[in-house]
Amino acid sequence: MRRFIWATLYVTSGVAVGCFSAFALIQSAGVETVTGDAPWQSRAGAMAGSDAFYVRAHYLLEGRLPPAPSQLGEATAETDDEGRPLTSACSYVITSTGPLPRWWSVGIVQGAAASAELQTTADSDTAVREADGSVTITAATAPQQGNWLKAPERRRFTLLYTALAETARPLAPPFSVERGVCS
Amino acid sequence: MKKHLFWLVVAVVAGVLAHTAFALFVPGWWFSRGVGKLAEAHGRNNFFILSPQEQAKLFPGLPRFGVTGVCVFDVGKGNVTFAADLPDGFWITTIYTDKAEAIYSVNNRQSGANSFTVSLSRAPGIIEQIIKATEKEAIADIDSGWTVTSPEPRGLAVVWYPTPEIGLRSIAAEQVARSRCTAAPAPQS
Repeated sequence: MRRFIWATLYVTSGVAVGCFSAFALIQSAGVETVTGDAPWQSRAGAMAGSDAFYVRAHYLLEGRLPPAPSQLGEATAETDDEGRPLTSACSYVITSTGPLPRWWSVGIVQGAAASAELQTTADSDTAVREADGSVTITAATAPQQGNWLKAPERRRFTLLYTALAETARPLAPPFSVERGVCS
Repeated sequence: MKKHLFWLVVAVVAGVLAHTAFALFVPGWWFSRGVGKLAEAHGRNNFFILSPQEQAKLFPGLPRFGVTGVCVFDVGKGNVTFAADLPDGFWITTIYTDKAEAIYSVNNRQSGANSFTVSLSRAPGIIEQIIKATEKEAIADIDSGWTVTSPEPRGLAVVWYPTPEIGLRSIAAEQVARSRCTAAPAPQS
């Protein structure tokens, strides 16, 4: 009886560790920071490398498809420029810091997963530009003047940047994310 | 001590097997549930326009008022022809396997035409390739369009057509919906 309990314990532990390590690897494989001081991360660079299997599994687990390679690229931000998590308790000012691609889009998704239901997007076709051509977007739960992304009521959210890409290299989103007013 | 060492080795083997099985099967199974629901609602080998909600699930980064058309194809029982008939303007057509591997992608500039045909077929397996290689004279199939072979029997052909405002979505959707996805008739025996 004692031997049976030990055997079950060992095998169950082994299976649990195996499943957990697979899940952890799927979530972390291929993630790289695409800009030095900004919070944007991307998996695009790993889509063709040795991590491609795990990166594709990440998209599959989120119930969505990866962007078309060499056509669209995407990057996500779960923190602001200071590394603080994005929460609905604060507003955030997302400002373009360089030239924008021919087509781009910034959206908000709930929670830490990009698969959660999309709230709103601002894109190259709909965003109002400043006189100098730059774009400023405010992410907040309450309506804001100018370009507004409705932040979800849930505490944490993720910014999802999508843009046309000419190569398979990870996109560097030309947007900074600064925390505004917190309630 | 020896007993514990034995069961520790068993635990490691079980862990490796569980890791491999999880990574190989769980994501694919999870995603195929969603694709299965789409196929149930709209049919296999049939081109349809996603609702904004369906689009937000499958492509959360794309604005909702863009148009996304999908064909859930199955080349397990025969070839499928995807005949695109798209409006002027920027668009991207991508063909994915049901394991999220993009096997073909083209945009309006690369295509040079808004109407084109892609013939989808199952990629031959290793044994099939060996048999074909030993045939003396294999007659190549004649095809007027592009041919894409998929390593998986099922997949998705996806067309994305962005529109600059919500009012244009329904007009663009009508035009994109002219595209067709049809299973080739079963070969005569």
